[in-house]
Amino acid sequence: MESILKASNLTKSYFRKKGLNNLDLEIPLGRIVGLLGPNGSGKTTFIKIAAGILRHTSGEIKIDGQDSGVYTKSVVAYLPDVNFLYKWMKIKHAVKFYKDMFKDFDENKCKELLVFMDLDENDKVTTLSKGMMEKLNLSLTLARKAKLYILDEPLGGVDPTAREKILNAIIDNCREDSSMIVTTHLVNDIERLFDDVAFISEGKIVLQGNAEELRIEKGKSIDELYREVFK
Amino acid sequence: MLKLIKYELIGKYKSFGILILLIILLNLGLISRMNHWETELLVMLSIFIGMAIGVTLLVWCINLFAQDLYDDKGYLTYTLPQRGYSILGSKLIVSAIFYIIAMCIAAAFSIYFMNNVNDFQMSLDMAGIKIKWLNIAILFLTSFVGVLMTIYFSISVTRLAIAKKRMGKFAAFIIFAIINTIEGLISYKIIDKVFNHTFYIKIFGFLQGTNTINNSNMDSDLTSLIVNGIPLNTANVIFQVIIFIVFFILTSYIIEKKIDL
Amino acid sequence: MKFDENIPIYIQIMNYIKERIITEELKKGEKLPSVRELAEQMKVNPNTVQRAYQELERENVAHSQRGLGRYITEDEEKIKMLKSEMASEFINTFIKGMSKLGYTTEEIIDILSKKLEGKC
Repeated sequence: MESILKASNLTKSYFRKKGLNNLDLEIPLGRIVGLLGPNGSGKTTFIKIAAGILRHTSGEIKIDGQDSGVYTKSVVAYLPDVNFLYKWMKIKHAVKFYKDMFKDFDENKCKELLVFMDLDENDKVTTLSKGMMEKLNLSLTLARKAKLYILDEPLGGVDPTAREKILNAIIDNCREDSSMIVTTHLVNDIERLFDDVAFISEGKIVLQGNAEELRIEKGKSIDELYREVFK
Repeated sequence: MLKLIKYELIGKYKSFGILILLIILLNLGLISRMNHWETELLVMLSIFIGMAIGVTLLVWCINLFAQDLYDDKGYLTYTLPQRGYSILGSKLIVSAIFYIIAMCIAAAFSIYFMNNVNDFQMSLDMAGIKIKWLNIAILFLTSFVGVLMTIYFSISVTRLAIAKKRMGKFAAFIIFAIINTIEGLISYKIIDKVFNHTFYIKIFGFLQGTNTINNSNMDSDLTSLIVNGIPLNTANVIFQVIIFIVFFILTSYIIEKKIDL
Repeated sequence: MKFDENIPIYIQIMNYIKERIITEELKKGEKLPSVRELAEQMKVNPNTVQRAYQELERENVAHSQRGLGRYITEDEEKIKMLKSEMASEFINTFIKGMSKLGYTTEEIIDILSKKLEGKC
C-alpha cells in the first residue's frame, strides 16, 4: 500500500536537547492514525515538521514521496492547536481565503459543515468561543480534499456537544485516498476512530500498531494502554 | 502572489483608511489656520505631518512582515502552498501601494501650502522652473522600499535564531544597524573612491531660454543641486540595486526553507 | 453506541448485528446499512465497520451483492445456529465467572434454577 507519509530517522535537535530522536513512522493511505503522547514527547514537533513550519535537523520525511515544500503544503491540511486565522476576518472571509489559496478546497462542503456546526458566516472570528473556533477551523480544514490531514488536539477545550459534531465531521471525512493524523490527550473519546495508533515518547515511537489488534493483544483499551505506556 | 496581495489589502484597508483620515484631518486643521499662522510655518507643519506618517507607515509595514513570523497568524501564512518570494513580494508591494497613496495625499497638501507662500508657483513659472515631482516621488519610494527590504532581511535572519518577539525585534534592530553601517562603509570608503561616474536625478526642470541661476554668490553645492539635480554615484546605485536583489533572494529562501515557527 | 474499548470494536459491532438478527429486529434477507452510514451512527472508524462486515460475510451471516450492498443471510438454519452460538458464548462466560467466584457445578445449577423460577 502506498504511504502518504514516511519518516525515517527523523531528528530535530535544539541546543541542549532533541525534540525528535531518530523517529520512524510510516502512514499508509486511507487510515486514521492516533499520535499519542504526553506534552514534551515530540508530538507537536513532529506535527509541525510534517506541516512544513519546522525544519528537521537530520533524517528524512517524505509526504506523497516529496520533501517538505510547496507541494507538500498543498496536499497537507493542517489544523493547529491555536487560533491562526487573521484577526480581521469574518467567517465568510476565511472561507473565501481558503478557496483562493487552496486548489483542493470545496466551498460547498465547507458551507455544509458550517451549517452542521451551527456557525454563522457573518460572525467575526475574534468573537467566537473556543468550541466554535475549533469547529470553524475543522470545517475549513476538512473542506479541503487533501491527502493528509493533521489534526492537532481537535477536541481540546471543547464542550461535549461540540465534540460530538467534531467526531461526526471527522468520520464523515474518511476516504480511501487520504489519511489523517490526530493527536490528542483525550484518548477515551476518540480511540474508536483510530485505525492505527503510534505512541511517541521522548522523540521516538515507542509502540505502534493497529488499534484493534492492540486491543486483542493487550486486552486493554487504547486509553488504558496509554496510561500504561506513560505512567 | 496576487491573491496574497488581495488579502493583505482587504485585511489592512480599514486601519490604513484611518491613517489617511488622519492626514486629511490634520492638514484640514492647518488649512483652518491659514489666515492666522505664517504660511511658511504651515508648509513646515504639513511636511512634518507627511514625515510622521511616513515613519508610522514604516513601522506598520514592518509589522506586516514581522507578525507572520512571531504571531499565531504565521501558522496560516506559512502553511499556504506559496513560495517564499511570493509571500515576501506581496508584503513589499502592499507596502509600496500604501506608501504611494499616503505620500501622494500628504504631498498634495504640502504642495497646496507651498503654493500659498508668496505665490510660489507663480515665481517658479516666471523663472521657468518646473519641479519634477515624479523624480522626487521615485526617489522617496525606492528609498522606502529599499529600507524596508533591509529591515525584512534583518528580521528574517534574527528569526532563525530567536523565537521571542521582543528579543527578536531588538536583535533585528541591531542587525539592521550593522548592515546599514557596513553598507555605508562600502559605499563611502570603497565605491565612491574607486568609481567616479556620477549621474543626476533632476528635481528641477528648466524651460529653454530662461535665465537660470548662475549667480556666483550662491553656494556651489546648492547651485549644483538646483541646476543639475541630486547627484548619485552610478556604481553606488548599482550596488544598492544588487543589495536589494541579494536581500530579496536571501529572505525568500530563509522564509521558505529555513524558518522554524 | 457504548463500546467496551478493551475488546476489539469490530467484534462488538458483529455481535450487535448478530443479536438483532436473532431477535428479528433485522429480518433475514434485509439490507444492512452502508459502511459509512453505520460508522456515523455508531461513531466509529468506517474501516472498523468494514472489517465487521467482512467477518460477517466470512461467517456467512451476511453476503454482498456487487453494487447493491450487503444483505443478511436468508438461511434460517444459519440464523438458528447463530442463536445457539451466542447463547453458548453467554453460558460459557457465565460458567467461567461463577467458577472463578468458587461455585461448584451443583451450586451453579441450583442457584440458576432458583433464579429462573423466581423470574417466572
